[in-house]
Amino acid sequence: MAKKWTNNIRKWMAFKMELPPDVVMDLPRVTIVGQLHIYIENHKGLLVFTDKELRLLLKQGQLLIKGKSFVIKTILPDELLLEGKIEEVHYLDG
Amino acid sequence: MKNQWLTFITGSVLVKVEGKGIERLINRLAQSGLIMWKVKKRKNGSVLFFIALPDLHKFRHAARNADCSITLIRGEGLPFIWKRAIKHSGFLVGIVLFFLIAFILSNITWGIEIKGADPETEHKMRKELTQLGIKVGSFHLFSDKPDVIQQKLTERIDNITWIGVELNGTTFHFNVVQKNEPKKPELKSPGHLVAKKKSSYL
Repeated sequence: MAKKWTNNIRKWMAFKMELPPDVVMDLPRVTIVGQLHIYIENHKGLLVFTDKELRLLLKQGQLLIKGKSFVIKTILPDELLLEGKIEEVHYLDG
Repeated sequence: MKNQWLTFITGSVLVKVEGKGIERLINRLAQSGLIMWKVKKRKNGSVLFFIALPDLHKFRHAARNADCSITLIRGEGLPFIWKRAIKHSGFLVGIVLFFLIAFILSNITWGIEIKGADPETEHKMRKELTQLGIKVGSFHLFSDKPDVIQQKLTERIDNITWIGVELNGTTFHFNVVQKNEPKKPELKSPGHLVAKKKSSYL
């Protein structure tokens, strides 16, 4: 209950004070360039990685990326750059 | 993203990970501050990736009690190229020697050409040149500059009006203009006709 409250307050603050929501609410920031690569900041770890699928843990839920010939160009504690042919990006609610 | 040139200079190691819990291992490595790149999953389930050579110690420490088997396949980058170069030091010595020899040989005088001088002057010039230190087999570096040679030669040899000294590659070219006093035309004056043979009657 308390967690939900803080979440709501954060959401409200982000919208009312025009703060960037990815900073305030600890959300992932995803940048996709065409189908070539996808850059995810603020993820919480790798769950599954194959050459056709990448599953990332987020603060809430998961992010599923499907495509072909995936290569992780760089991986840092909370950043990830994936290259290959990106076909789908799914948010899975946790 | 890490600079590619920097990783080339510091060196990188290709690592192969097989078995279960590869993702967990990757997460742990990322959490411990390691940077991995070109993470690729192969069909047989093994994962290949590169890590920086200076991070290798940290990598060992972080991957010590993982459930998957880890193999270091090969190293890439300058430190490994350097190691190989030392191993095959003959090549390195050969390259250095090649440039050294090419440099030395191209700085030696291999020919002296003199144009426009008669044999006598040419002989004299060659003698003077030897005294100046220019002969086949001497170094350009230690001999005088062409214009200095020009000055010295014109000073020393009298019957030369002008001399052009040119260093072309490894050969000295001397263009000589001699003081050629025009030959006096033969004097023709009236003379006697004298027969060589005695006259005879037929």
